[in-house]
Amino acid sequence: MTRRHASPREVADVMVCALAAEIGDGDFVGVGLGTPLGLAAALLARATHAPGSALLAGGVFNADADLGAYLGGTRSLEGKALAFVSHFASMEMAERRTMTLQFLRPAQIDGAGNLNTSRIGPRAAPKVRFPGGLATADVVSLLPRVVAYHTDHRPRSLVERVDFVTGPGGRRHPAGGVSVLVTNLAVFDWGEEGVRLRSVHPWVEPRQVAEATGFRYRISEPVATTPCPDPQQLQALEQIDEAGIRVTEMPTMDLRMSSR
Amino acid sequence: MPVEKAAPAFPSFLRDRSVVAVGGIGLNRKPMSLIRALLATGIRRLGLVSFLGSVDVELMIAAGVVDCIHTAGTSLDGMGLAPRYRQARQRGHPRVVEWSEGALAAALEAGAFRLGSFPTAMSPRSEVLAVNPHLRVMPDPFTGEETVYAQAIIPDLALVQGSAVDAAGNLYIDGDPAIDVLIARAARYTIASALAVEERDPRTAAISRLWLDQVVVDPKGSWPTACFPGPLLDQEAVSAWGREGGGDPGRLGLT
Repeated sequence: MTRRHASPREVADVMVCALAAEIGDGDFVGVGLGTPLGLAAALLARATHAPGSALLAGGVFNADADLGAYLGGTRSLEGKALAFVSHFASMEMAERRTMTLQFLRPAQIDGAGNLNTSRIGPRAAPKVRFPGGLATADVVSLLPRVVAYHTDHRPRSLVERVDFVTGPGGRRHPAGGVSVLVTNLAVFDWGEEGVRLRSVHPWVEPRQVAEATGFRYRISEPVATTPCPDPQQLQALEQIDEAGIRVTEMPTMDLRMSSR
Repeated sequence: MPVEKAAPAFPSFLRDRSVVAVGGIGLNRKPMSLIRALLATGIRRLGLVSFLGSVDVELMIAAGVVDCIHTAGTSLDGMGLAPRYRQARQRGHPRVVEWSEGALAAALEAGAFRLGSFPTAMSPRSEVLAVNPHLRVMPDPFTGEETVYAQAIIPDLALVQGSAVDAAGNLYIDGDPAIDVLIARAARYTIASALAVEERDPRTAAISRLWLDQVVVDPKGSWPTACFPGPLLDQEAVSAWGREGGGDPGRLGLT
């Protein structure tokens, strides 16, 4: 049975669980501090199905801390972390492929898995420019897996072709480019035959995904439903992020999507 | 090398069009009092290297002393976009050169070794290559794999902020040393600012005195950015700057 409504918290929780499902017990996850949902997912995986996974977030290794403390940085993590790693050393870990997975939050993504974190609009006269390319161009060619997420799934975000390729997609060994995209509506994955709709969230119709997506993708019928958090996951999320910081990353839009 | 209590003295070779690299990361450990002292010299048309910039880039643009900015990203982090930087990106002046983090680090590494270029693991298919003339794709001489090479950056001056300095002039950084060690190695001349003089084990210094030409002591040197374990971020000052579109440089302590 399809539900028609979801609160921002329910959307955030389904997204966090879908991101966490990408983490296996042997993964070494790198998370930047600009991606709180990715950080929540890595903490959730460690607290539930992947206790052996390692987490390096903002230079802090495997801290016994919640989401808020991690985002607070060095000061709030004193005495709680197993190790501190400088930004540059963590880049070397990516280069040595000690790190296996990273979460990225692009402004735009296309069907080839190209990521844009730089600018929107034509190159000569961009309409919007973001702070800069950051490590996107490095990460896509360094890490075995990149998992992208976007909290505002619409045709101008999931596009036919990105306005600027900060980080190129395409599966190339040993680095794989983007392997999975989790949005507020659905989950996509990339394989040998290109991009595929893996599942739609419980309150979403496949038709809504088609209307909100600017790139073409494959579907295998029947379309699967993204799992809702189970009680153990909900309990863990409550401990990881009691304050609900993860919800603040959701756009202030009508998430019901019921009339469109 | 003396540890100074007073204002920094800039090297005589520093002039218009020199390249200045600034340490710190985001809103952490920006050497703001050193930047204010640099602005007071009247030297202009500078090249600025700020790996992950914030109010450092903002203040230098607002003072009108920058021709070109090299950065992998500049914003006010949780307090939004950096207004002056954003305006520069839209107008094309001062010129902003976009780098990936890995490529900018490689350019400074090349500078530190006085090599012409350095390879970087950045993707050779990124369009950052199309907007950054300091990057080239060449086959690796051994594997033949297409590889990005970054042209060396040798800053004329590096400015870094630490938490403490000892009497011998070794600089201590508590928390992430970020780009600071690299710019100190690459630059022709490096000035550090420390919150206090403390005797510590020199083996734990982030930057040895061998890479430093001058250290000044200023307990408020990082204001309004944070400097662990000292001052916290002055959120009010930074958010006011963002709110007012980067209006009055006096907001960031420029007199």
